Amino acid sequence: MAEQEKMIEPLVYECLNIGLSNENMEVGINPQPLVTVCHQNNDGTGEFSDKEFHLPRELLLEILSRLPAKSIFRFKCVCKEWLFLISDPSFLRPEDLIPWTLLFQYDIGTGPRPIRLNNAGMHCFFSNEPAFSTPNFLFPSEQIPHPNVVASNDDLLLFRSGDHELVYSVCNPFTRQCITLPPHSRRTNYGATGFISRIGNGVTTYKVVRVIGSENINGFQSVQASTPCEGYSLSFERFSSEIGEWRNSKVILLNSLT
Amino acid sequence: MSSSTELTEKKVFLLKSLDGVIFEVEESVAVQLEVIRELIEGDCARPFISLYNVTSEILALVIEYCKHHAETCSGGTSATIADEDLKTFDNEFMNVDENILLELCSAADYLDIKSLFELTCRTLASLIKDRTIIEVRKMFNVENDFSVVEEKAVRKEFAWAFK
Repeated sequence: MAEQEKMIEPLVYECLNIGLSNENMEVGINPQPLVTVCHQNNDGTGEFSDKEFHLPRELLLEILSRLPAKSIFRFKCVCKEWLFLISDPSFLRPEDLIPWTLLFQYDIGTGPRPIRLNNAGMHCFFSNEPAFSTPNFLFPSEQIPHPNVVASNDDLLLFRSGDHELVYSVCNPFTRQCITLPPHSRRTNYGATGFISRIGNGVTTYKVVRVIGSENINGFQSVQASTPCEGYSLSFERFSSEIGEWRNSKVILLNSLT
Repeated sequence: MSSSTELTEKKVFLLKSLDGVIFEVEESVAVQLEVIRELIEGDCARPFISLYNVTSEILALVIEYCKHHAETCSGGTSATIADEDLKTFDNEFMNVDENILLELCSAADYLDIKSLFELTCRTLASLIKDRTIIEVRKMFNVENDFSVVEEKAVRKEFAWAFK
């Protein structure tokens, strides 16, 4: 402290003595009720007195937003205000977050495949076999046995597990939430699977689409064409988190249109 | 400092802290306080500026920070050396009591010094990230207003974070 004072050489004047508090000379920066400081110490000795220091909410948020995920979730227990601040959907501010980066290799049969996820400074590494194990967190293996990452979107992962009966699960490694989707109609079919998620008003919704079959059709009479034409009929099943169940749909692709 | 700047008369400002201590700062230092830069640009700056929310102890530190940053940036050294120098300075500068850190953070926000605000926020975050709940409550002067049952429920929900 003594050294700092030497460097800066604060000019300690009594304002009244030298008339610097003259209204005409003084420009004040508007005082904002940001900090409650009960400062008892006016003797310029540079000692800090005991004071109640309450950090304003905006500043607290700035500090909290720079914490790793694990600390954030732990600090929900500090007090009700912190729980409220951290639980608020706007706290995560998806637009500010570093997007997930998901890298995984398709080297079939060559042992563990590392998957690296990154979100706001959180790193985790996990292998694909036989169940996830990571230094940062562990996915419950009983929940997703023999999982395969099918797709990812935003910070969600879609897993497919099971050898004979396929089960889909949607996981958020960030919050460690894991939801197993209800059984779908054709459990043994390994169709191409699509996955999309959206965050709106702090609520994440997602859809899973599976191709479950295709068949050739001949002599299809379309509305536009005058003569019967050939085509494919593709069957899908769709799961929407908003509806909460799988629904089937069919799309007809005409050869003449492809 | 180059000799040319020493020849020309330096513009100085007087900053008055909450507890009435007055600091003399050069323009190059004062402009790092965004609130003052705006006053200067708007031609509203008088030689004497009162800062109602900053104590002399904190203002002394803030000025030390701005002075070092101003000198390093205008010192004519290469960008990489200046960068290294600032990093070392910042690290040492942050090596203070955590209550001072909190006040510095608040002052950097009030005076609108972006680099110091970012530095203090980051330092505070890394300081508390591994602390226990009780330590954090003490540091931020907050009371545990959960009932035993409520706290247990929250802890249970985020049990993974406590591992």
